[in-house]
Amino acid sequence: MRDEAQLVAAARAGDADAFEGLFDAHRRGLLAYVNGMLRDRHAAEDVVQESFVQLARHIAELDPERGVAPWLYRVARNRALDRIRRRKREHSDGEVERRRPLAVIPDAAWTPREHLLHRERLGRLDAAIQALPEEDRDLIMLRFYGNLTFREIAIRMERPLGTVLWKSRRILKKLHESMERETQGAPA
Amino acid sequence: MNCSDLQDRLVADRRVPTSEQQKHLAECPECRTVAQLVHDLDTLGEQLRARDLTPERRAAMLKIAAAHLPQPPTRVPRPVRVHPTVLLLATAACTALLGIVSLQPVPQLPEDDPLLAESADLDTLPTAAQLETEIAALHNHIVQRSPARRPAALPPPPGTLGIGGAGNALRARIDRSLAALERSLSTPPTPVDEPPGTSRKPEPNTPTTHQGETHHGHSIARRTPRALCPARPARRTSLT
Repeated sequence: MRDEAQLVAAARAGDADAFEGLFDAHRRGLLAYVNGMLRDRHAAEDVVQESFVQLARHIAELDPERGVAPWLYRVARNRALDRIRRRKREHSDGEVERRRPLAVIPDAAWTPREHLLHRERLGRLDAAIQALPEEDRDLIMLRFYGNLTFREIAIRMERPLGTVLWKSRRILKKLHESMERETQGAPA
Repeated sequence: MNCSDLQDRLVADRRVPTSEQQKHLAECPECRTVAQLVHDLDTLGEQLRARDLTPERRAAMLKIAAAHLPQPPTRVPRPVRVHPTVLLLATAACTALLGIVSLQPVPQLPEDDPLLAESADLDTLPTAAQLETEIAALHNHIVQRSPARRPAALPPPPGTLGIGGAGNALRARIDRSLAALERSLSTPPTPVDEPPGTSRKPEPNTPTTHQGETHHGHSIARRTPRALCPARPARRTSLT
């Protein structure tokens, strides 16, 4: 099993199998991250496609020490933000753009009641994430949707690792408070 | 046990808490809240990542992206560089080869070949004086048959024909026609392998001169070679 630096080196030499290894290692997380931003599955797939095309084109310029993920997620984020801006322009004629809720896949072991509770709790959590400032939201999505390590997030956000960890603790506290407020405000 | 250490561990490491940490979690509501939140976020992330691409979409996406990979250096075709001297030598060699081919002896025909027999007739060409006479006679005949264009003067003296230097080509052509005509008169063609009833006969209404041949210059020139050539059978004009 080759590590990521070896895969990058082989892909630089035109090895399609090595590129497939990189693709499989990152496609799920990237798709989840972009889908979390766009709330549009098809648009998210298109963004992932464009991001991997960019990765193939610029793989020779990549620093293997920094890893693929920070570069790939930056490209995907920029592409997704372009789409969001375009969408806002298209809806600027007064039409209210509605964000689609994330679909929750029921676990086979869940009872219908558990499924409902999960759906409700995860829905509230998702709403609280969407209400965060952009940078905080990005950090949470990179960590939990993209499944990136804090080291990768620190490289991607160009911040020290300690700062990113401290920030994530603060965001979690904020999320908790936001969900508590919503629970208290919600009708019993 | 420090709360921030535990929370960092919960968020960053995602490892199962040790027994000491679990004891702290049971006592500290803040850490318990963070642990629950991290668990929910993990579940949400897993839910999102579980929705993978279809195999077809994955294959198509990979194929499109991999097409943009840099090509390995061995696959890049090298530009062909030829030194001008090599190019010059190659051209010279080709030219010499063509020259050798063109200098090859022409294959000799066998002695009994009909082509050789025909070429022997060329040795018995008429003399210049005979040709002059023939041409003058032909000229007079043509002039007499076209009264509208009949010239006032007599036929030009032999050797000039009255058409100047520009008519040399025409004269040469007439000479060739006459020579062919003479040959055909001296050696009449014999029908070879011709089925009975298909032999060519002169048309009854055609005016004739020179022992039955048509006298129009063009007709003679066109028909004589076919009649002379033993390889070509005579044209079959049977109407039945």
